Amino acid sequence: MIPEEIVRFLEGATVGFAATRDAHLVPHIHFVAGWIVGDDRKTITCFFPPNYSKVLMPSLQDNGQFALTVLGSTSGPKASKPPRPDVDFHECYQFKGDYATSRLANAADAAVVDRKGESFRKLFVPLFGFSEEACAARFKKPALAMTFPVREIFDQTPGPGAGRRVET
Amino acid sequence: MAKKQPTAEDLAAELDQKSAEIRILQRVSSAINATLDLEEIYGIVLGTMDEIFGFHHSLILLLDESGETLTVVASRGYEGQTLGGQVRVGTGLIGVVAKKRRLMRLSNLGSQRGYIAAIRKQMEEAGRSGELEEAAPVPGLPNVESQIGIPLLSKDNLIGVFSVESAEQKMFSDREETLVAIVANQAASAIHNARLYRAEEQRRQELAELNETLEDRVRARTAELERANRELRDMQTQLVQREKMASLGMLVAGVAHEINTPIGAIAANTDLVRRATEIVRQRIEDKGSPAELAGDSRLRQAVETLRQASQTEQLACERVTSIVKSLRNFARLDESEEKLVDLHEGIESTLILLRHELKKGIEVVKHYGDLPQVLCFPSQLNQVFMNLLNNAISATGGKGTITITTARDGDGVVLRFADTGGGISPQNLKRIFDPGFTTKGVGVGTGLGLSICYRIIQHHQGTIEVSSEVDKGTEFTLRLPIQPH
Amino acid sequence: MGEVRLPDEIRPVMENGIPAQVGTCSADGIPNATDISRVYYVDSEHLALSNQFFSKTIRNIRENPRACVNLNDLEAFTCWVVHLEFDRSETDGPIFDTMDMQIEAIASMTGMSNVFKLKAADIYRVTSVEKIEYGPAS
Repeated sequence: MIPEEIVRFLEGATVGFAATRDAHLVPHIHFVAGWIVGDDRKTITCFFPPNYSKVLMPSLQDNGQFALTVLGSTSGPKASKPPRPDVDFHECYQFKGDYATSRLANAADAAVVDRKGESFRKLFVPLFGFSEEACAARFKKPALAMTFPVREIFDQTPGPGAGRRVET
Repeated sequence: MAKKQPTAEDLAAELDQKSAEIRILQRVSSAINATLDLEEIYGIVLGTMDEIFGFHHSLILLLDESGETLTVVASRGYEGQTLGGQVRVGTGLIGVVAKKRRLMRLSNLGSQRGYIAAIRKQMEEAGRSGELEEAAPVPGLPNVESQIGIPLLSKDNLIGVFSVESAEQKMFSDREETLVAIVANQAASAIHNARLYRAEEQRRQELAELNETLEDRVRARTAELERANRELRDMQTQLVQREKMASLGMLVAGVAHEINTPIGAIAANTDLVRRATEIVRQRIEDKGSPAELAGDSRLRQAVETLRQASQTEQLACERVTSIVKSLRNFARLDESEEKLVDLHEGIESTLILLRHELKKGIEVVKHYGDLPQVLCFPSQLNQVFMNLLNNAISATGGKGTITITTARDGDGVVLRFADTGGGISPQNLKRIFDPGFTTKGVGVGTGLGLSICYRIIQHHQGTIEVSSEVDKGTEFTLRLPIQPH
Repeated sequence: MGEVRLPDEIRPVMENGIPAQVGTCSADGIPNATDISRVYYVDSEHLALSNQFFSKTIRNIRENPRACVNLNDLEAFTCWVVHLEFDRSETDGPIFDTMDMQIEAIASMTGMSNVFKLKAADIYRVTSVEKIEYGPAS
């Protein structure tokens, strides 16, 4: 089960990407526009933009291996006091599991992606000087939703604890 | 992935741009090389960056003499004070550029600062603050995003660093980096030359000031030296006088003692002579016959006493005469000029004058060679003999042997004065002829005796040497030319 | 098969300050996704990643030399997907020196000289480059 504080982290986090690998152990990286945690706190559903990689589904169907990495500012225990967005957005966790199901994304999924896009814009426009347009282009209406049960969680926040496995 | 082929317009635009850049660089080069004024050079460089290339924040830092710190000597585009700001070599972009002597370009420093701050925070929370240091402040923009640092080199010597910064999240392009580097390299040569010129000007000014006051200072210094010289000569004269007085004192004591003995004898005789004479007068007045007078034992005794007294007085007078003669000989008061003399006479006169000291328990052994007469200042040499023999007597402590050996040696003579005293240690031996050096303690001797002897012998174009062995004795060897010059 | 070359237009994207994503895979087939603040251009056929902390990424590379890097150019609505194969690790030479200088400069400014020391520059050969233009929002 995903710990409560990590569920809260996922709700507020803004940057997501995932890794799969094909039959030849060649890794691929995929942009993830949004995510939600299952009610049982055992699964995560990821939302992919329309131009998601052609190798995503074949890889998942071949071996099912999936690794989701999420970064973002948190209001949880790790947040700086006073808040420092340039520091706190580096808080990061990686979720590993096996592909379970996929479906077409729906309106509710799109609403999640919209919220993620809004959080991303609020954080990174001042931090990196991105334009509103550039931010919005990243968070288009999703095309695919993919669910996987979380097998392992790793703390990847840069620092001495990076790579530590989180108790589930 | 196929590269997009440039159009003719693209190429023309690029050519125009490059031509413009070359013209700018030529103008900058001419302007920099036309001046030897450092402030002007700084102004040209920073002005070019700001007004022509659009880089509004730049610094020129020069390396200090220790080679460990860079100091801001010129800046452009900063609010507040950056001049005088310092960076340690090895700290930050500027410090690492100085350390490695290589150009460096960094961009997106803001995001990197955030990333590093995140790691710092994790480390602090994990209790590993001990591994962290205080962030070193460096002069420049606190929110710098992009920066180019270029070492200022003159013939492979690092003279400083040139830094251009931006707070925009843009990256300096390769082209911009090249332009900045060209200007910086020109600036390095110009700064080096200007500093040399400045140093030279300073030296010239100092020399001119020095020359102006030189005559006055030479005069003042000469007067100072003359004064010092006079004082030194006075001191020397006083010391020599004191030495002479000390020697004279010793001499007078010796002579007085020597004369006292015969005079004492004469004084003792006077009463005897008076009584004996009275006895003879009485007997003659009694008008006894010659036969009765001849048989008068008291008369005979009185005559004998008179005869003996006369002998004693004669001896005493001879003694006094000899002492006075020796004294005259020693002093050679009537002979202040160079003269041919028998050196043995001088030695003998000195021995007579020192007799009262010698007879305490010191044996004098003489091995006199066949010496010719030597051309010299006899009073001066007698002073040397007095000094050496006095030292020998002191060294033996009143008991021992003094050996005097003389011999001819080619065109010169050799005189050796050896004693069986306590000897002189090797470290003292080295300094024995130094003026003022004495082993007799403060106030006992002036320490000038041997140095005066040294000078006297030198004056005679001779040499004086000493050899000694502790607890065995000491020997002084004088070598003198028979006919100096 | 001809050598794959990086186009000139990718160079500014490598230095735009937006973290890149790196995907690797262990020998037993478990993928790993991480971000990296800086990817270094070596030449048109090679990239370098700094090897500062021993991590899952490096462990995976030692088992399986293949990697995938995504470089993001948000303002151009573009993502570059670069596939790599580990070539060699350098602890001296011009590439190492350049990376070392940059890391030393940033570390010394932020009081992290004891923490940030470049252990090695890992050099990767480019096996494929793909430019994905996802276009603006509307």
